[in-house]
Parts: sequence; structure tokens; C-alpha cells
Amino acid sequence: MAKKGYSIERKQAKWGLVFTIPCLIFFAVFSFYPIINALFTSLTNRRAISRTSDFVGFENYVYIFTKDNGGFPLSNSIRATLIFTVGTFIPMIIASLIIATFLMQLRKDKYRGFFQLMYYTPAVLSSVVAASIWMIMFDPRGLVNQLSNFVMRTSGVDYNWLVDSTMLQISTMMIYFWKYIGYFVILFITGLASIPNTIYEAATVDGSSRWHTFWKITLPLLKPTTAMVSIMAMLQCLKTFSTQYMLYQGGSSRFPIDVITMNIYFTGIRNGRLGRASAMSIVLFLIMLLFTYIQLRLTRSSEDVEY
Amino acid sequence: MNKFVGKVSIVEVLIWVLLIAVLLFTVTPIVFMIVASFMDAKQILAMPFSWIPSREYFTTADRTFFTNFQKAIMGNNDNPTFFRNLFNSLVVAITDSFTTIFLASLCGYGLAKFKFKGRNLIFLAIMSTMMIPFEAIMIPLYMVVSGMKMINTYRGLIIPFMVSAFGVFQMRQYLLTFPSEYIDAARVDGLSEPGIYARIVVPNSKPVIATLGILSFRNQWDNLLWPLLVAQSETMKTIPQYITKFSEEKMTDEGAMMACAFLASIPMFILFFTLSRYFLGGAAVYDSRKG
Amino acid sequence: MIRVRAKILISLFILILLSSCGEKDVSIKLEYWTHEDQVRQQLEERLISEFEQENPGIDVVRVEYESSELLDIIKNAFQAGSGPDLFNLPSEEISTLLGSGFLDEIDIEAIGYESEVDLFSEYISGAFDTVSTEEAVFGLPLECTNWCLYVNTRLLDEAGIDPYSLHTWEDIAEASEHLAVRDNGILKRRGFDFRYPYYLSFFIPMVRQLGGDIISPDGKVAVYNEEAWENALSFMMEWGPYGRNLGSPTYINARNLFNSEEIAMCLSGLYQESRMATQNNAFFTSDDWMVLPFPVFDEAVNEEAAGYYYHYFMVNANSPDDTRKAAWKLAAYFSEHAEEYLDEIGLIMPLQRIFESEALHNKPFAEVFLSDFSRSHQIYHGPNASELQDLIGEAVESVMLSSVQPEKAVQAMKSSIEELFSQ
Repeated sequence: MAKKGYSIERKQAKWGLVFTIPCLIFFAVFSFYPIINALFTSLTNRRAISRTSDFVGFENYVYIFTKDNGGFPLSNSIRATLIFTVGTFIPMIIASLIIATFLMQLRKDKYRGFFQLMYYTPAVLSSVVAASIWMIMFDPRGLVNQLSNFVMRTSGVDYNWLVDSTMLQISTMMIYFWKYIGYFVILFITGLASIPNTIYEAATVDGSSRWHTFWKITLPLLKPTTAMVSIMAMLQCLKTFSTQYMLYQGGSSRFPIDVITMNIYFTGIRNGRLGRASAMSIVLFLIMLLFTYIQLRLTRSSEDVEY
Repeated sequence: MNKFVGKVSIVEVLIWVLLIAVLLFTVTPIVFMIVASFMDAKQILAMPFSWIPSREYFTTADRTFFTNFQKAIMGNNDNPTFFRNLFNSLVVAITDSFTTIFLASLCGYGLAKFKFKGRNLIFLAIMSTMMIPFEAIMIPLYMVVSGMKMINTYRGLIIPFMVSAFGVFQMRQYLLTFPSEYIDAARVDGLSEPGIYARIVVPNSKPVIATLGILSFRNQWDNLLWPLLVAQSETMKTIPQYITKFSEEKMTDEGAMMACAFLASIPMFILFFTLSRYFLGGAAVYDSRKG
Repeated sequence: MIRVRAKILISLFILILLSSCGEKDVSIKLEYWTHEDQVRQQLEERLISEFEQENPGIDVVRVEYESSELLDIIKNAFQAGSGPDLFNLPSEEISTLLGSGFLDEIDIEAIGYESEVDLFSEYISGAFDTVSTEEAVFGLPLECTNWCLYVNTRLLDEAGIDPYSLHTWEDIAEASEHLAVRDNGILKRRGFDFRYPYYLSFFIPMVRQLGGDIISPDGKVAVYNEEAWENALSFMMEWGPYGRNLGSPTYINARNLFNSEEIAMCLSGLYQESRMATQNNAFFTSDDWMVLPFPVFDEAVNEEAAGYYYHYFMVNANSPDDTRKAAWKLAAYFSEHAEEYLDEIGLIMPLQRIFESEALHNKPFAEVFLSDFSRSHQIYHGPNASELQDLIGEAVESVMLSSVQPEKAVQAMKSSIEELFSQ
């Protein structure tokens, strides 16, 4: 009998591997190999279109933290990335949680479906389309500036949405927020939907108010979802590229919105300093790892499913 | 409506106000795109902006209601690649969403429901790839793909995005909550492991599969940087490339640009609205549990 | 049922995945990458099909990229061991490729000349400087372009401005003030605007007018004559949204708006005329426009016009022998049709015979371009040229858009440039 149990476990293990190996091979070739390649490159002075490169140890890392990388230092990129991430993902998590909770309060599923659909629509547009729409709307003559004048009760003021360094950063956050809010609402709704209704019914029987139910029951039960959604949102924000890139292409200045990925792109692809760009990539990778770790720590609770 | 007034609480009114405000925020730019695609640059940047394309404008001889769309499709020359590029985008996005569903559900199932050595390590390794920004590995990745002779092919566009770590993560999280008893019961019934996957796991993961498929579709539909490197011939380019190409030289023509953006979004809209039933699967689960 | 269908679908897609792209049986397949230019495309597609007829067995694929991305894509492709066989790049983007081993030495025989001397004598002097090292020549010129001031005289008339009174940058700023259409602080239509982000072509000449330069005459100091830089930057600051609000890089290209008469003045090359003719022929054939020399500062110490730049055909050194030969042959074939490039798209190939031709001198306002040409320099094309352009751009944009003081911007730029050259 003991032997049989053992073989079932063996069989289980075998099938587990069979199911995971296709993905693992895929990631090995298209993710692990390139990142290991980047790690090695970061220790060399390799430049695009030159055939030889020398091992330089940690010189690139020292460089990116001490020098200004041709006017676009990594420190500025870290600042830009963090501001963008904090300014986008915190409002996004809060807003999408609130919206999702409100949507669940709607009496008719039809309405809920409609709102969900409409909120998600921007996400189906490609970033290129999104950026072209917003760039026209951010024009001093465009819709957003007209609305700003209306709201601020001014007339003929140019709010410099694409010019002023603060406004420019707000613009990128707005585009991003617009594009992804529906996506995160849906993730929260999926989370909310997985909370068994019996719990709510029990709470109603107990006579809890809606507010009380939300704080004492919904929110704690939503913890795993919140953890997942916020990690996703944060990682996405840290990796942001196309919005900033499109605005830069549209003539806005690079410095205020020079997020790390954009700096990697310019340093590595445009200026061909692959060693240095790889070092930046590794730094970004570590930052993302660190943030994920912190978040997992913060949101972890004892009865959670294993991570 | 009157008989409902009594039932509507202030909270409910506030909820509706907020939901509608958000609705206006998300939908206005899209409506703007559609309206602007019938206008010329002067109207698009007119102050104050009028939401209805003015009629007198179309009475000029060289413009019709569809001038912008004509320009968007014909491009700069009489060699329109619009439809071909649209087709390419569709092929890439559809294929990748199918492969993502297949590979991610397989892997997610393996990670969630089987115990084996190194499982957590594999999971962590896959999760860590989520933290790799694409820009960071673009060049090594390009070398891999070009080494496999996949430049300017569908394979080159498709294969690097066949599955995403996020997909695996989502599937695993979903399947963790899936009752193991069903699976064990199936085993007792003598179903093979692949059979359990195909007949028990997949059919019961429809909502998450639908979400995953659409997310993956959207990601590829959105992808610009990779096609820029890999798809070099006109016939292999994708729609985002077509639009950027379009905006470069003709930035003056915001109308045509918006028309192009609109046209390029139509397949996505159609797909999205027809599949929305599956897509709102999260809510469906909620409904079934309510009932 | 659904599952069966899904299976069929999945296997279909796997089939698509596995099916390889069939390759045609052509002895030489030549890939030519170039930047976008709608009028040039029509001409070159025609020339290519003629070339293919004359040279059966050569199949040319012409691919267009956004001009701002062409170099990046070529570099990446080279890095990964692929890339075009024939391509073209502008002056400021060539230094990164020179000496990389990826550029093929010019094939004198394939382009139909007897010797380098023979080749050089056909072209204007200095035409090969950018693509030459001490050992070899790596490119064949496609075009040589300088920019002058295009003026919409109708709009100027309406504002009561005499175009012939516009000589200095101060005149331009003053005229733009009158030509601008505003709604309080919102600029609805500009009078003139610069041609961002090509700072090497228009901004460096402005600095030089004031006595400054990128590198000092003795070659030792970067950002030579800081005061001149500061003054030029102050002018840009005044120009920008926080100064007199006359223009900014965030608006649409002035040269594109010019054709539809939505801006009164812009900087562009002779090729603008062909684009006007295709986009707004009524305007092109009217008397409502003219071309003026590149403006000069009131207090200029040098009479410097806009910098001129070349585009060069170059060949990938890693392509097979016969492909490279065919690539040079095609480049030479394009050059043989220099007259059509001039006629149809207004591009000047720097051949002696073109500069002396009637056709060039008969082009409207060609004399303005030619006389400006004689008082201008080629844009900076030495090491790190495109990075340098980015740094200058950052300085200009920081004073215009972020209100950084010109002194500070110059210092920041200087230290960045020095660091760039020290590597």
C-alpha cells in the first residue's frame, strides 16, 4: 500500500512537470536568456554596432549612479518613474476599488454590464491611438484646455498641458489612468464577485449597515485581490513607456517624463550604449522586485492562499 | 418613474453621479475621435469645439463626408497596405490569445493543483519575468528571433508573446480556489490527467480564460515596439505601425489621423462588444452564486 | 461541440505558426530602407521597376521608416546580424556607423566610375566628407539640402507687413507678433515657427551668427563662446510659451502647415516646392508665396545661413558580394536620374552638372537657396552628432518649456557635451 501512495505522488509530480514545462521552456528562451544576456552585457562596455566589448566590472553601475548620462541621469529617471507610478497607481487602485464596489451596488445587471463595458473601452484602443487622441485634445486650442478654462472660470488661458513640466507629468498620468481604469475595475469586480453571497446575506441579517459591511467584510475579503491588482498596476506603471514616448515624439521635452524605460530606450537603442542601458535595465528589474516584495509583505495575511 | 423616487436613497444618487462622471471621462475621448474623423483640422481645433461636424464645410468641392477615411485607407500613395496591416494585427493578436490561453491554463493548472519538487521555484521564476521591462530585453530578444530566421514573418511577431507570466499567474490564482474534490473525483472515475485538464479544468475556467484571451489580444493589438523591429516589409507591418507612419508626415491632417485611428479601432470594438458577455465573466460568476 | 471547434481553431493557428514564409526564386534579393517621403516614394518605385527590368535577377524591396527611427532600427538590425542591403541616412547620423565595420566601401566599378578621383570630380567639393575616413569612402550622396524662409505673402499683406523688410530674427519675431492669431493667451495660429528638433540645422547657425560654436576654432573647447549661446537661448526663451508665446516644439510642424496656408512663414528646403505642388497646387501656382534668405540676428558677427546637410546611400558590408554590388549599382542608378529627383521632388543631388543645370536655376527662388548655400556650413557631422543634437535640443526646450535660465541651460549642456566627448 505504501508503495502505491508513493507512486501516486510520483505520478502527480510527473504530470505537474509535464503541464508546466512548455511554459518554462518558453520563458527560458524568451525571458531568462535575454535577461541573463542583459546582466552580462551590463558588465561590459558594449556598444551597438561595435563587434568587440571589454569586461568593465561594475563601471556602468557606478557611472549611472554618479554621472549624468549625457544630460539625462538615472536619478532623474527614477524620480520621473516614481512620481508617475505613485501618481497613477494609487489613484487608480482607489478609484477602481470604489467604482467596482459602486457597480456591484447597482440593482440591474444590465446597467452594471453597460458601465463596465464603457469603462473598459479605452483599453481596447492601442496606445498609439490613445496618444494621438489626447495629443490633439491637449493642444492649447483643444478640448482639454477649453474645459480647463471653463472649470477654472478663466478665458483664453493656455494651461500648457504639453509644455509645463508639471502639467506634462499630469498629462501622462491622465492618459494612463484613462486607458487602464476599466481594466482594473474589471479585476476588482472579478474579486468582488468571488466573495460568496452568503456572507453578505449573513451580514444583512446581523443588521450591519452597508458602510460597515464594506469596511468589515468586503475589504478584508478583498485583500488577496487588492494585493494582486495593486502589484499588477504598480508593475505596469513602473514599466510605462509608450505614453511618454509618444508625447516626446510630439515635441514635449523629455526631461520631466524621462522614465527609466525611456532612458533605457534612448541610451541603448538610440545612443547605442548597450552596456550602460543594460545596467539600467538591471536596476529597474531590482526596483520592481523590491517593490513587489514590499507589497507582498504589506498585504500578506496569515489565512491567505500560499504565495 | 415616480413610484421609484421614494426608494432612491441619497447614496444611490451619489453612486449614479459618480458612475456617470467616470463614464463621461472614459467615453468622451472616444466620441471625440469618432466625431473628429469627419472634420478637418480647423474644426477639430475650433474654439469652442462643436460636437457636430458643420454642414457648410462639406459643400466645398474637394471634400465629402468621407474624405478623411479615404485618405486614411489610401495612405500617402495608391498602394494601400491598410487592410493587409489590419489583417496582420488580427492574425498576431488572435493567435497569441489562443496560445496564451492554452499555455497559461496548462501551466497554471500544473502549478496550482500538483505537488512536485521545484514547484515554488518555477512559479517564482515565472513571476519574476513580469518584472522584466520589455525595453530591457529587446535587443537580446531580437537576436534570438533573428537567429531563428523569423524576421519579417508571422512567427517572429507571434512567438515571443505566446504566453505571459501574468496569464500563468491569473490562471494559478483562479485554480487555487477551484475545489480539488472535483479533480479527485474525476481521477477516481478513471479520467486521464490531460482528460481532467480538458474536460474539468478548462470548462470550469471560462470566465478567467475569456479575460485572459481578451487581455492578451489587446496587448498584442497594442504592441508597437516589437513589430517596429521585427516587421520590416510593408506587408508584414501591423496597425500601430500603420498609424504612426500615418501621423508622421501628415500631422497637419488631424482629421485623417483620427479617421485612421477610428478605422483601426473598429475591429477591436466589434470583437470587444461581441465578446463582452464572456468578458464580463467576473460578474457572471457573481450572478451564478447569487442564484 | 465548442471544444471540438476550439481544437480545430488551435490546430489551425499552430499550422499558421509553423508554416514558413516561402521564398521566391530570385538570384539577388535587395532590401532598400529609406525614410518616409511620399513624393520620393513614387519616383523611386518607378526607377526601381525600371532598374529591375534592366537587371533581371535583381529583386528590390523598398521599405520606408519614420525618419526619426530609421537609424535606431538599422543599428538594431545590424547588431542582430540582419538589416538592409542598401539604406540612406542624413549627415548627423553617419558618424556612429563610420568605422563600425558595418559599412561597405564604395564600389567604384559597380557605380560606373574609373577611380575615386573620377567620382569626386563629378560632385561638388566636400560632397563626400561626411562618409569618408582616411582609408576609404562609404557612401554616395542622395541629396544636399539647405533651408530658407518660405513666406506666405498674402498673409503678410493682410497684416500690412512688407516681406522685403524681413532680414533679422528680430524682424521675424516682430512680424510673428502681428501675424499671430490669438484668443488671449491661446495661440491659435502662428506667424513663423522653427523647425524642431533639427537644432543642428537651424539653431547652431543662429549661435554662430552671434559668434559661438559647438567646438572652438582650436578644437579644444566644447560650447565655444558661452555668451553667444546664452543670447541665442534667450531669443528662444522669448519665443516660447513663457516669453512672447510665438511658437513651441509641441505644435505641428510649421512646414506642413505652410502648404495649407495655416502659418505665414516656415523654414524648409527647395523640396518644399514639390510638396506644395502636390498638396496645394492652387497655392503653389499663385503669387502668394516667396522664399527669403535665412534671417540673421541684428547683432550678428557672422553672416551665417542655415546649415546644409546631405543624405547618403550606404551599403551593408555584411551582405553577400553580389548583393552589395547590386546595391551600389542601384544607388548609382538613382544618381543617374538626378535630373528627375530635381524635377519631380525638388531634391538636389550634389552633382556638378545639377548645380550648373538650367533646370535648377529655373526652379522658383532657386537663386535664394544657392546664394544662402554660399554663406552656410555643413551641419556638424563629427562623432556623437545625433547625441549632440539631443543635448542642444534639451537645452533649447528647457529654456522654452521649463523656464530654465539660459545661463544654467548652457552650463548643463556644456558639462554634458564635455562628458560625451571625454568617453
